Amino acid sequence: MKDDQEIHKIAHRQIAGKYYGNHKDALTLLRNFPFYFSTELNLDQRQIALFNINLDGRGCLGKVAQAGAVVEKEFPEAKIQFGEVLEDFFCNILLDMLKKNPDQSDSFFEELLMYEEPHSVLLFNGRQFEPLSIPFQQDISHPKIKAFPFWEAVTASRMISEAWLEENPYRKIEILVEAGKICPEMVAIKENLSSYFILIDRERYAIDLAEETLAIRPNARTMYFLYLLTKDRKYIKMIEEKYSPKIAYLLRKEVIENG
Amino acid sequence: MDDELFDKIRNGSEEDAREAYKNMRKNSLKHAVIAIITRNLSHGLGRHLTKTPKKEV
Repeated sequence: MKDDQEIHKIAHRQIAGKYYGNHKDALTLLRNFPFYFSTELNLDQRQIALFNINLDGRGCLGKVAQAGAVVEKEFPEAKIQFGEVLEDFFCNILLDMLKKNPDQSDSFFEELLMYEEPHSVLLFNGRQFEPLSIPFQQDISHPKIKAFPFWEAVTASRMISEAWLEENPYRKIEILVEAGKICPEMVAIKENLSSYFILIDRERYAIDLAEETLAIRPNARTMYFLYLLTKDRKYIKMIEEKYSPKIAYLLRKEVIENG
Repeated sequence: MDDELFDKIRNGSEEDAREAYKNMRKNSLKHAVIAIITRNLSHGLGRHLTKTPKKEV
């Protein structure tokens, strides 16, 4: 496990040599920073974990870490923070589209599930910077985020990927418990931790923790996970009411394909 | 853990092999269930939104 000083160095190494020109303010600088964007859905989780470990700009964590590093370097007076997205702007657009037209394709629902995955933005001087606002061509403000001290949160988020790549279930839990000490209120840590409790046959812990996260960052994956653990149809009902029965179908398919 | 189970399936008694197979299925299902919410910080921009007309925020 690396501490936040080492993580800070990794992020600064990642921006070294990148050309972004001279800009009078942080926002203009970030809009001109060479971020990498892809429209690929369902990126392999292992690949994402490796991107995150290296703070590689092809992943969301790498983009935010690099954005923080470059603002820190060029505008040292700016106050930077890490924002964990609790309600996603993009997800809400798709939910609106779904309300207007419930008959959507599988790829639509896959995209919706993607927007519900753990995500982060940079906050500088209290303002959100979402790197995806560049390809989306408009400034984006997620309706609900939780702010954390920047480098501590980058470190804790990176540990989620470290735990993902670790094979020993006890070690996975240990890593996330450590991450939780750095950012006790980060939901993504708890979501991941709840699932690892299953690996050591602690279903009750898993259910309680997943329930806790569902109240803060409601999403279809956690609902379906709770359904699988409890067999309580209320979670399926939640999915059907908020989204569509097709989401439950897609998640069931995912379990069958992986199982 | 799966290596041990594989070994039992290949080299163990019929009963051990059956039990090992059952455990392997159970483990595999367990991993599939946890894969539902073990997610890294990710999320890019998909095709459905890039097609959507932009609105003011």
